[in-house]
Amino acid sequence: MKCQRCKEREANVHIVQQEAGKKPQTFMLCDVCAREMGISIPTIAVPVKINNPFAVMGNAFQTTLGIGSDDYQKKHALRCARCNLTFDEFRKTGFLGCPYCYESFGTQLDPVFCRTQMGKKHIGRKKGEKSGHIVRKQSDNPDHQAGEETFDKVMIPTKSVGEEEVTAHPIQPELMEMDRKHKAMLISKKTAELNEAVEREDYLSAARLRDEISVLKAREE
Amino acid sequence: MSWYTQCGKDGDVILSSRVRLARDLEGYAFPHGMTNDKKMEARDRIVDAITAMPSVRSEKFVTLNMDLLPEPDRFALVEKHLISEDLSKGGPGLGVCISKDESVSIMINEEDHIRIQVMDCGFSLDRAYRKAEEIAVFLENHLPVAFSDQYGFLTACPTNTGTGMRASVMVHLPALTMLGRMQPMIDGLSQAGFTVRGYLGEHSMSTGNLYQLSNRITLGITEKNVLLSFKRMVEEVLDLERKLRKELFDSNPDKIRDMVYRSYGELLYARMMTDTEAMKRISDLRLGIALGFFSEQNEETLSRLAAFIGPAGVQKDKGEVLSVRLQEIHRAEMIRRILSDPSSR
Repeated sequence: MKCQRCKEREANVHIVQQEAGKKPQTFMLCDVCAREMGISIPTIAVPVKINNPFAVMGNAFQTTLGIGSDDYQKKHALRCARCNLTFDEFRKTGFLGCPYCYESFGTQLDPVFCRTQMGKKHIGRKKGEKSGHIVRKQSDNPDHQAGEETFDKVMIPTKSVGEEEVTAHPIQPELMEMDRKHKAMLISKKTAELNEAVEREDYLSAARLRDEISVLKAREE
Repeated sequence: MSWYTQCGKDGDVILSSRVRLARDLEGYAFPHGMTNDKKMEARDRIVDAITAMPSVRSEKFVTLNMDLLPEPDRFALVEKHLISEDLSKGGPGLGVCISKDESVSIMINEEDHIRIQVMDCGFSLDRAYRKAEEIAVFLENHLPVAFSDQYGFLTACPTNTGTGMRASVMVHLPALTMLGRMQPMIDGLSQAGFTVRGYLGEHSMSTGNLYQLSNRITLGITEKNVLLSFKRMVEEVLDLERKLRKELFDSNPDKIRDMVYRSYGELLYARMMTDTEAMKRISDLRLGIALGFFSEQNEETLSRLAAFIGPAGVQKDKGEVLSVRLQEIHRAEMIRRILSDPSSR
């Protein structure tokens, strides 16, 4: 029998899931898929290195609702409303599609955050604020375990012991040379684009390019 | 002198400190899913904000577009740790803003829209963090940076969300490596929420007994607590390495002296040298300086050497593309030149 999840490899792991008051459900998986879903197979002593914790999410959503069922996944695939990324695509790459994905997949991400980070709530610096002005207590973080050492009274020092005054590092000539050559290339590229724009009588683009070139030339001087 | 050739606080073990903050923009997909036009549009907005930043001293920025920059230049920036290997692959809409003193680099449209990196010599994470925060606060107030009260700064990979911060140090650990203590230490640090990588960051192997230590946790912890726990961990590694160096030397001083001076001889007289071998020899000399018996060269010269003898640095010095064999010949020449006259390049 083929694995119910990948539908490719032979199934060799038999899983019976029993929930209170319900009929037991059985699944047949291959050992690769079983391990990917976080099910430990004690007879195999090969350590599995996990680089992407999000790729092995054995979350309740999948285990209880039909492993590998194409129909189910097509109908109910979790999808970000903004960028259209599916949760499955995210699991494959480890990359979200857009900032809104965090809202779309929050329920799925939270358990992984709780396992791999120190909870699922940001308690660090807020956008646009400077740190050191607001002292938050660790208890603000509901996921934080009590009894751990806290450093809240300690601020990021304005100057650490043994630190010298910030001395200005000199300008690096090699970088300046790279910059000069790069600017020359940028100007010649934009000049070519400007000529093309004039030729096709696209004066709006031409005017924009002319302004950009003059800004670049001004910076050069 | 640049930050990466200076010897800072605890410079016998800690070569440099770096703080990186990842930020992304609201209203755009994350870079890996963006069209080239959108990438260029976002890059223009980010560059405009960076150039509008009030700058002091030599912190004005140079902007380089990856699609225009020739390959050797891009690789040279990787060897100086100013850009990542991913960014060096180039492409439309990718760019970097580097401060004229090369202590700050802001990568654009790498894994995230904005990656602010501040680097400094020695053990100086607080100073690097303050500078990075100053830049981040300015950009957060002048660009639509993606932030949620629940998850903090929203990044392309959820392993960075929250503070978006990675603090790291480049450490020289010859004694821990020689005594076979690295693997258990890597395992222990990884369990405690830290990462150990090779010389050129992610996916790279360690060369010349150099390792990059960094924090992994970004959510559910404040920036200052990350810095505090990270600094404590680094101090423990620092103390252990110093203790083991002394033990190693005391157990057989003649052997260590011989090893260091043999390496010096090879650097001075070899006519061909691979970069891996050069880094190993430089590591031995660094150990000799730290143990106090080798005074023919200083730490600054060795840092300068290490910064320029990678494959890109050698070809840049020669001014042409070289085969591996010719690189080895030119590298040996460069080493002799720099060791005999440290001010030369």
